[in-house]
Amino acid sequence: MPAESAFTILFDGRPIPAEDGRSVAETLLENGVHTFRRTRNGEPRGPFCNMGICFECRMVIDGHPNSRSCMTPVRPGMRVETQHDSNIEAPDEDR
Amino acid sequence: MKTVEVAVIGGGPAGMAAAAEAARRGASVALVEESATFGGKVLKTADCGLPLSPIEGYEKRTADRLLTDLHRHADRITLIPRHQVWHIQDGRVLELSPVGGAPVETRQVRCRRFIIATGAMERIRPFPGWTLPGVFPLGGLNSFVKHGILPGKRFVIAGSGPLLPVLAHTLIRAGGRIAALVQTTTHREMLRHVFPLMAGMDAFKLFQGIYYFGRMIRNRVPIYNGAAVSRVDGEERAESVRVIRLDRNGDPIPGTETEIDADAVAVGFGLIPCTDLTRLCGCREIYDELSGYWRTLRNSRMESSVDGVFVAGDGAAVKGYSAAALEGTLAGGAAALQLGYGGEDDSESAAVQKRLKKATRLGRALDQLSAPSSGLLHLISDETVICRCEEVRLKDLRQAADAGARDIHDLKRRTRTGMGQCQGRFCGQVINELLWNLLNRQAEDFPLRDVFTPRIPVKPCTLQDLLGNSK
Repeated sequence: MPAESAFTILFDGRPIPAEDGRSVAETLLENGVHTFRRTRNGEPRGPFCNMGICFECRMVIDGHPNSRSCMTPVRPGMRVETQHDSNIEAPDEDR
Repeated sequence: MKTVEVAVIGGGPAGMAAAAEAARRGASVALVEESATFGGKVLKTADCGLPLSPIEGYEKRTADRLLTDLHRHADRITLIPRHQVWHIQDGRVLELSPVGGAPVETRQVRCRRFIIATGAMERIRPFPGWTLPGVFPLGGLNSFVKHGILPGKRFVIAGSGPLLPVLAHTLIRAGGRIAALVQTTTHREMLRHVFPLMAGMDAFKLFQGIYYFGRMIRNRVPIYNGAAVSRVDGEERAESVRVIRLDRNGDPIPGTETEIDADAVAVGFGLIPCTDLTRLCGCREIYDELSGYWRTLRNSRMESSVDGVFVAGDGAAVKGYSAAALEGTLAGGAAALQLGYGGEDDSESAAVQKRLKKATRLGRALDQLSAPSSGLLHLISDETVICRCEEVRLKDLRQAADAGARDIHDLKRRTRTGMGQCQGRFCGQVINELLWNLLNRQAEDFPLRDVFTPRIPVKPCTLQDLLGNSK
């Protein structure tokens, strides 16, 4: 890995190494992260189709929820957080 | 707003060839692609630091040739990568939104003709545990491994179709350990399909198949024929896989399960066209029982039932990248001809028709070989998630059917199945069969095969994207 293309991103507040040209999903998997999101029922979910159509890998990226980690390239200093669906969606009585 | 004569949606082999051909004949073109690079999923260059295999080398040359053609007419082609089409208005205006934090290039493309080349997606079948992290479709895992990412230590890869040997090959090269390759196809079926397949194949495809299987045998990959993954277990991610034997009809045989340790599992059953945009445009399609999917109807110039809307490549019917590029060229040429640009009508060439016929035959043989048996749906338990987006389980669908739901739209309204972010692209593949099973009817007594109504935005986008377009 050439030094100039290596940097860190923050995953749930913890710095992890990243490399230019990779997606957020690739970077997390490479660092042993498999749970990207928790569903309303608390079940773990990770990336699935890796082509932008299933939306299973959505995370909070730089403050934006529902960002597809498989379609988002890493950038230096990027903040990536596990998405908790119960926190960002309307409460059940509004559904 | 960007105004061009021809807009092309999808930057895979079909879209690239379509854009290049329309521009070559003189038309101004915009080419919209969701990812940052062109070439589509199939020709995405391997980047795991290893020298290219002969097959990868061939695919890279194909991708390079398509790119060269595209750049040759760069003055007439606007490339719009990292943008998705979420709506097509009045059949002439594409509404775009940026993907993955990309800066906005343009939010609208107005055109006189457009070519849909959205490619294929994977055919899936739900099974217990398929939502656990570490479980992928074959192509999903393959594109990670192609980029040098190994999301596990012991892999089980399963299902049917051409992606299975492709993934095995990619994994072997990247140093992944394949604990089992599980294919639904039996030896008998292989024999029944091998000759029609070989008749339709060109020398390269034949070489490819032999090469892949040779690699598997040399690397002593444990192969299970006539079997399927019946469930994946694990707490936070996949930990173990159960493999079940299938009978002659492809139905699981109870009591024949074997447990295998694995932390990464990939299951898929061939490819089906991505039809969200063609459906949105109202292009007529038919359900092909043999292939097991909806195919878009087109004339020999790749024009759909809607005037001015062309559909090229695997997004109409799955035939592979060589045929996709050929169809793209036909569509691009025909669109330019309609706009008054000169040149030959390639669709009348006997050589072109012959190549397309051959590709269609091969595509159908592969579709048939990879189509999963309806018996696999019996693996689904009441707790199995069917609609991943809305976490709708089989028991929820059963409850709705018991309460009177009689068609898939009614099921959707009662349970939210198909209403999530993916717009029913996955659960929609099995919803008809599941409803028939729940109502204890056979397809024959209940012939209405239905599709979820396409809704905009076809891909989720932000309110800002919607508002930006109204300015």
